[in-house]
Amino acid sequence: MTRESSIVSTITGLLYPFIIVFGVYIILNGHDTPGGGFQGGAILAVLFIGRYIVSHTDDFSIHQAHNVEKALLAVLILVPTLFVFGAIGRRYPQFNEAYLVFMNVLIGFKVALGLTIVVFRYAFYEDR
Amino acid sequence: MIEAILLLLLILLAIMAVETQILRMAVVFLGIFSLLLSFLYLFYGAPDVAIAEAVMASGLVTLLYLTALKRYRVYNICFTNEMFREVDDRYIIEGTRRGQLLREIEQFCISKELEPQIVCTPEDIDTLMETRKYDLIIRQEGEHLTIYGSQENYFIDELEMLLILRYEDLNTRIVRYAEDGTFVEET
Amino acid sequence: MRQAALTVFVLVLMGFVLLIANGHREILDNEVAAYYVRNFTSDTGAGNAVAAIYLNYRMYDTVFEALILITSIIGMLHFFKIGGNK
Repeated sequence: MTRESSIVSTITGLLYPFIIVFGVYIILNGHDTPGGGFQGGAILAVLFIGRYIVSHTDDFSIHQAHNVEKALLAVLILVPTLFVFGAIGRRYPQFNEAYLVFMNVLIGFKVALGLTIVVFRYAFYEDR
Repeated sequence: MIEAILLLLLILLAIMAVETQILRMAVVFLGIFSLLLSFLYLFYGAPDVAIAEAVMASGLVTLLYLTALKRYRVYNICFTNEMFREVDDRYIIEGTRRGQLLREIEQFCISKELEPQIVCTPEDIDTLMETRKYDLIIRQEGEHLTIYGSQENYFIDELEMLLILRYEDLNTRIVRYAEDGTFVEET
Repeated sequence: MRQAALTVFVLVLMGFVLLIANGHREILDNEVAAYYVRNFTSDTGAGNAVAAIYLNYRMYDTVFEALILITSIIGMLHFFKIGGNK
């Protein structure tokens, strides 16, 4: 893909805010409505990948994203372990909803970063 | 009623995706298949799965397949002439009947949705065979043309038909090689 | 010949499976499912039963799914190490 189509880039530029709002909505309302971290994260990943497909930017640092993802995995294991096995949820029921939202946000970012890394790494080396 | 229509369409699209000759059409059919499948999940009362299916299978996997298809589009053709010092390279490529053959192969690649990439080198055939960078090697020795192609290359059978039909006056022959680099004898 | 035999075999197998599946109804009336449906809101504070299950009742599922994702990414980064780590 050597040429950039101005029609495609303009239309995707218009679509980006809607994709972001939709993905964040799906993540933040995952505990009440259908959806959740995985689905919202996948929508956010489609945003990054679509941006790469349209305008071939390679300013995304795979190394840093991988480090962030590893840190997120550590938090993702620690928080539920403390919350569920430490029985915080049973003792203080007012934290339940906050826990659900926090976990959905964590999973959402992790899935978005992970899918983006996979596709970027794949695309970078297949293009050459 | 809606359920029956959706299920029948799913079967139809799956068969179409398998039977299509053009790979890009198959990818598009798979995308539509996934979208209808996500409608069906919604119909059965599983909106979570429907969202995941629509985003992953219909969006991400289609993009991934299209990226993978781009890799197979480039078709590397190498034109080698070991006596290029005696004969001007440009003279061979343009104007002559051999140049016509090269252009015909190029057109043939384009009709098969491949991007032909022709490289002209003076390297000898053994070096080229070792690197395995090219899908098709055309070698000229004086008046003789030899075309080297992999045995598993489906393109080379159709090329042989083309040569027999239209280029019988050129001194050409086709050599197929196996995966380990040995030449396969013609029957 | 072989293809025709395979086609007949697949069709017969398909008919057999459909015949069996036609008379069968899956009924999930175990106690755990009923408990989840009754009590998920008071237990976990979620409005969506799926979220309640994958973030609280079946938390291992989520954690190991995240682990699978990161394992696949590590494998990918390892095997595609051609031009250095970008």
